Amino acid sequence: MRIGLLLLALCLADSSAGQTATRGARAAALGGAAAALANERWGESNPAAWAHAGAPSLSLHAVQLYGLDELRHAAALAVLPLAGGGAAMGVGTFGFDLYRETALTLGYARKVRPRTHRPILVGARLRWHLVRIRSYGSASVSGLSAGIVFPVEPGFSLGATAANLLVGPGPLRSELPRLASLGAAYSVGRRFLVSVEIGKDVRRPGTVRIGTEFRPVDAVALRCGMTTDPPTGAVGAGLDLGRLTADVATERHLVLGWTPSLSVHVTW
Amino acid sequence: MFAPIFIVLIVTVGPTVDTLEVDHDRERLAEEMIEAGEDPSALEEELQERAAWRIDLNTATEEAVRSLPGITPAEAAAVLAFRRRGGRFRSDADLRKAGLRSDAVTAIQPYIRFSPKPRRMQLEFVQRWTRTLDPGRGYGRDTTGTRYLGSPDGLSTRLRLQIGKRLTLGGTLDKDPGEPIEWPISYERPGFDFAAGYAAVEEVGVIGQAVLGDFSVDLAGGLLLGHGRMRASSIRATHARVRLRPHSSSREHGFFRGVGVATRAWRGWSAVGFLSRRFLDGRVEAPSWRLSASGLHRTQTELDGRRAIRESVLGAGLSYRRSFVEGALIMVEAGYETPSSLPLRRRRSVSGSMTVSRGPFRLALEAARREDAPAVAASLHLDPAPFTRVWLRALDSFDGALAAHTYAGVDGTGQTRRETSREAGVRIRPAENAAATLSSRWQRRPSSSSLPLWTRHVSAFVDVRAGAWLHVHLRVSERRTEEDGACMYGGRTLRCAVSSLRRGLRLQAEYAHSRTLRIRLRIETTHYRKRTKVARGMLMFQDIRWEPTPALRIDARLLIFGADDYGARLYAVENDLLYTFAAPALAGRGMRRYILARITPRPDLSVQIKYGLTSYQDVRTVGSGLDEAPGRQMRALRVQLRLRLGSE
Repeated sequence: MRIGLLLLALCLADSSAGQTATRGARAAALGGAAAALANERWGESNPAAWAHAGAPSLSLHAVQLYGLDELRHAAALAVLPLAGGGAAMGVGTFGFDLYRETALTLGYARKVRPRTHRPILVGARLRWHLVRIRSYGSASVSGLSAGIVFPVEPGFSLGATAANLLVGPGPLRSELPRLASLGAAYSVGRRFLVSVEIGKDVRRPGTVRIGTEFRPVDAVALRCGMTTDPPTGAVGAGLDLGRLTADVATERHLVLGWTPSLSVHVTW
Repeated sequence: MFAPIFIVLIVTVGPTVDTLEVDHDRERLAEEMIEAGEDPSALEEELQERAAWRIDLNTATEEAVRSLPGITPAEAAAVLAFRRRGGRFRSDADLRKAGLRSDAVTAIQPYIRFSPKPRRMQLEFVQRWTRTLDPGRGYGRDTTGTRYLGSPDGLSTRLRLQIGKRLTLGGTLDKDPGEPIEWPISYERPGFDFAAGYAAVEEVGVIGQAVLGDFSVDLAGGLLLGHGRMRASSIRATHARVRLRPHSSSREHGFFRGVGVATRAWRGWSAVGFLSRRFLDGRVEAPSWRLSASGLHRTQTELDGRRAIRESVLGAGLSYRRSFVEGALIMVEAGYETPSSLPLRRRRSVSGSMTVSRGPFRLALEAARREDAPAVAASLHLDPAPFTRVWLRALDSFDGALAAHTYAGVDGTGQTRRETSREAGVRIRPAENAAATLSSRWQRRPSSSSLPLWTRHVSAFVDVRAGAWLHVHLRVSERRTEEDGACMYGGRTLRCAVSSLRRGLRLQAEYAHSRTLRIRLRIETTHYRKRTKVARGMLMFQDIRWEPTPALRIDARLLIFGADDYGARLYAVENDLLYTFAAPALAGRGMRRYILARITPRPDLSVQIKYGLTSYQDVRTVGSGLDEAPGRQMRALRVQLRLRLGSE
């Protein structure tokens, strides 16, 4: 059983499902369609979102893939505002005693105004992965991801990201997923948001992600989303109390089952 | 080792026309040509040359105005009439005043300028160096058997000198990767593998145009309604007469070598004559013979086929233009023989054509004959209602008929082919910022052709603009072909027709965030079916163009592709160096990235550097044959310097 879970962990580490584990509960509830969201705090879907950091923040995230204790992921991310943008530092861990993956993240994003008053957000993320398999040893690899968000009009934005655009040398070099995503997000007033994203992993077919968010009141958000590959549906909710924000989500894979996740953000 | 690079800097005047400009017709046309086995690089090169050598609309010759891509003959006549009335073009507003549509003004913008006075002399010098950073096994020292004779560097040197409006001199030296540079130079091998040159004059006395050296011939409406695939596109060159085009490209085929003369119009009449004699690459194994269009001489086998066949061409034509009627009669005789004068083939082609243009209506008819093979063609362009354009075309001909970019009278295999085709299309512009186009093309070829027996291609596309900053393009296409194949019947392999189906969907958005930053995003899928095999492909790319300073422009692309097999392949036209064209066919799974920088430190000096990398998943080697290289990636570096000097 544990060997099977080890194999599953290895497979998940080398697939887009690995992204499910790291992207934050809000993005998870939106089906992963967060590439064009400039206010996505976790920044996993698009590191350019860190450029909106107005105050220092600490984010914590936990997810349990398919309800299995052995496939838990936990991460912490601190974002510090800098002149014109923000810097991010984080750490995450995934797996169990037979298989443990640890990741360290450094990121930077800023707003730029290329000869116009309208800014664009650009960001980059450097992540170092260390994989340790009991009785086999360990290996590491680093990857550089980048993203850009264009706030085209108030309420409408386009986003593009490339995950692991550049990958460092090492035996795990070919194991990191390499993805490109194009997204668009449209807000109807302050209450309703639709986000669409199309992504392509080099090794997998293309995927379409759609997410919607509804805020009946400012402090509460209700979300749902879907992804075509892997075939997944998701629902979630968020509570925004100013300095404290909490998001929960649960995703259901057509075959593998439910994946609950929780994210908490604290700003000061 | 290769000869020292002659670094020449050329001043770039104005923005370069490239694929990030909104010009889906060019991309679509290029991709259709590639699918049909044709080479779009000549078309692209011509358009880039026109953009690099913009004509002054106030002083250009009548033929130069008529040949602007993207305007109708009626609009060209309106421009000339405006000039004759004493009007002067100072801006785009004057073009609209003269009667041009908005989209026609946009279409010709890259090719025109409004200068206060003509330049006395202009010199352009281009030096290009390319190198693949992952050379194939053909370059290996320990490779047994065939290997390339030269280095993996490609070199190209181009010179053009224009003196006033009338005299132009030009020359090109080219070496492809793998070809050797030989010394001492001789007529047959001028150091570089390929050399071309010309001297051309325009509008001197009765001579409208004369070229000595290398040139190609644009036949307007003759020999089956002109050349190439430009006939039904909005970027179609609107030549009204036969036009001689000096050849300065590094393409080693599709041009003549000799002399050509076209007279000026006299009471509507003009004449043209050309004579060419040159050696072509090929292989003669009596009784069959075959021409080669690659121009590659990298191995001893390829060198053995160099200059194997001699082509002699004599052409003459008479044309008449008056008011809204144009007519032309053209005769071309082409002969092929070995250098020892062993005859291989002789062909005479004659064609008579007539074009009637009246307001929104343009009808062209042509009857032609080659030996005992008749051919007819007709083409109709019509604007039946405001913002609506319809075109129809029917062709029943011998293929390979003096197309300006192939051999005279025959195709690359030395054969003539019949072709029957029908084409229809409609473009509707319901609003100023929206257009929809539906086009259909059906084509049949004989079974001896290496191309499909018949092809039906239907495509529909929609363009919507939101202001000047957002352009969304959607294209749906379907291509059905039937080609020669082998089928199993009753345990035996028999020859049969095999059909295939290829469907494509493309969604593209171009967003201009500011004058210095633009992006283009594309998602494209293909679905391919042949017999029981089904294959799918998907492509996604992000393009960015950023001009942080007027002296620096950066184009970058990240593209991810995945195609189950070659049938589901995808094409993505790329920004490239000036006068070059790149549209890689993407099959397998991988990623392509490139970055292209254009640096203009001075107005007369431009440097372009392009680094491209294609990486594949789950492969051990990349490429095939002598270009096969170990590993999963293929990288290339291309550098071009351009110097342009001009004096008033």
